[in-house]
Amino acid sequence: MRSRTFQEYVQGPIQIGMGLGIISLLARWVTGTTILSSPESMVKYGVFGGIGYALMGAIALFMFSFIGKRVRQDFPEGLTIGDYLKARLHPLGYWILIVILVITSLHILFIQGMAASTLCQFLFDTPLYVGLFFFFAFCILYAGFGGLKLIHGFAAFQVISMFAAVILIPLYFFVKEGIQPVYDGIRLYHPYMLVINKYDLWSFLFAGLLVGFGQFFFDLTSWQRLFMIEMKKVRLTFSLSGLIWIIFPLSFSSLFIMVIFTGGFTDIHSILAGLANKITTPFFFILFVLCAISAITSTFGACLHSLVSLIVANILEPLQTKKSDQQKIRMACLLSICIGGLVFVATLFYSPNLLELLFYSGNIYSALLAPILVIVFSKGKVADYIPISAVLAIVASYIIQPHVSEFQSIWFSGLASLTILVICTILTLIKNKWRILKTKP
Amino acid sequence: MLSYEGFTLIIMLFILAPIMGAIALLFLFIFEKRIDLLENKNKEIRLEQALQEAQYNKLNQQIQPHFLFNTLNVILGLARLNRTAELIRALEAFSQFLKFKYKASEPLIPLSQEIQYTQHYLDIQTLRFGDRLKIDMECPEPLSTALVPPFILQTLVENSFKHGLEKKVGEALLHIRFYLESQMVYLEVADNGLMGNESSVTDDGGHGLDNIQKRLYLYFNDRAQLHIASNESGTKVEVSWPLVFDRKMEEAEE
Repeated sequence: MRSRTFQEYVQGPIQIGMGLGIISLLARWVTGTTILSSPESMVKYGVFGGIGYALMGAIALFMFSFIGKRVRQDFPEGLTIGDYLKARLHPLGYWILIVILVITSLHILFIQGMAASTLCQFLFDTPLYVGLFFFFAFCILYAGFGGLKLIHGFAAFQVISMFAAVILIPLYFFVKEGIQPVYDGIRLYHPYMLVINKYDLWSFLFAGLLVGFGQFFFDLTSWQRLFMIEMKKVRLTFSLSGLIWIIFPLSFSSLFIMVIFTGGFTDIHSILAGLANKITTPFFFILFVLCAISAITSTFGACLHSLVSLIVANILEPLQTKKSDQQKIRMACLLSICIGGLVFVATLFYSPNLLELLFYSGNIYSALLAPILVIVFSKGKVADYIPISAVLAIVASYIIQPHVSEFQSIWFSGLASLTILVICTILTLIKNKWRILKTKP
Repeated sequence: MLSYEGFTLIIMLFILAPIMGAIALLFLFIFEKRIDLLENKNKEIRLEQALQEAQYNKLNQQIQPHFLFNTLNVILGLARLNRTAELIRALEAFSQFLKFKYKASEPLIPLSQEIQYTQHYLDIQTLRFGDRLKIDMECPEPLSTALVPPFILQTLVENSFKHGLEKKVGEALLHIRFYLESQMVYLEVADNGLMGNESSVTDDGGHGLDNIQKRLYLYFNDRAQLHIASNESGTKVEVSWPLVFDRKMEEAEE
């Protein structure tokens, strides 16, 4: 299974079609966060909060298909998002975005590590570091060492197990319990969930759209998949992935409804424990565990692989040229061990709430949305002020964050980068006009 | 507040959506390869058609200089014999012949056009043979709009003169007949000339009947036929091809 060239390590031996493309994207985007955050958003913002969460992701993936098509038309050959950014940006802008990409990717890995930690606590009585060690070791081996070939080999099995769980478990429960008792239970214990027009639902949805768009549009793995899917199938693959992805958060939300309709809960982790008590049939319990492990490992593996590919291809290569393919692959393996180890340590010593963690990085994704759109949809090399606008917006939003709500800081971040972009574009236009007028006799 | 009915609908959506998603993905996996295969096959067929069209046009273009060469030889013969009056008329007919042009890109032309074109050649031959040449042409009116590969009649007529009637002493008879049978157009070109020792259906330049056969095959495959029968009383060539009409012309007529 060892890759012969670095390109094969990053992109696999052949261009992939629609079916495998969708499987690969689902493996990346059905994450530990999807399992835990979509029910959490349902608990916080009502039934429509859960549906909104699913819709946000689906719309973002769907919209990425337009970006993907444009990118492949302008830049048909490439390995990573770094290759594209190098072609479209000046060195300063390029390095700014590369640093942001590395930080956000590490953050995603950390979130998956947190989800794995929750799962380990839920499943095993052993100390946390034992379970986590096996999780990280497995991910490093199959994704970091195996390359894309092995990732796709596992992805098929992972997606099948996820599908089996989201189809069978809710079906089993609702057939067994019936809908009326569930509705009555929710009305009794959690009536707030049935409130349609919650005052902060729209704030959540709007902020979620900004974060979702930014996250999907600026994701290393999605860009890497974009370059490996057959060109004519790019748009349809991403659109259909969005459409199919929507079912996972919806199904996970329905699972959690099943748990909470019989009583209250303290936090999302207690819901997980409640689920374990509910799923008394061993088959369904194994299926659920398999689904959760698949979701977390597939995302962690895909992100780890994309991150090491980016570092080797776009960060180390300009510094150390004339490296052979085998040396690059060895470097990628070594890097996956280092990054895996780093995230393992971080996961062991830090445990914030998952949705908070997602929105904590929301400022970054929201600030990146406008610049990435400008980079993709403009012609030729773009000016440095575009990536700088994202940095300024991120810094400004974190400065004001203690004084405003989470959502407000996300809106502010997106709006700030957009405003800076508009002002800079107008100033550049005026400057160019002035220069032309001055040169005229 | 969400009603029970609304809640039921949402739960149904939650349960049915994954099933539909799985079916969609399964469908994609099963049929993607087949759809790709069909697309490639379609592309292959289109390429093959383009190649055949190119070959067909090439053959069409090959035959025209061949025909011109023979006609010029006829005119040269008249000049050598000092038959000035016939020569002038022949040149007039020849200029008419040159004025008439086929559309090079058209793979099929109306039969009336083909007959008109051949008529100019026959005019020149009539001048040479004088009263000795008797031409009898039959073409039912409805067939005049039927489509035919260009230069078919012309090549057959030209062959009749070249291989049969040229050497004929006495009355030279040329019988041309078009008729329709079971949605097939039949063309018979019979002469009372002598083939002599020539056994090949192809002429000196490698074109002629061979060219007709190739073009008919490219356009109609096995549905088109060419038969040649030669005996002491003359030669008879029979060509048949499927009846095809020009839709645009039909619409205009309607």
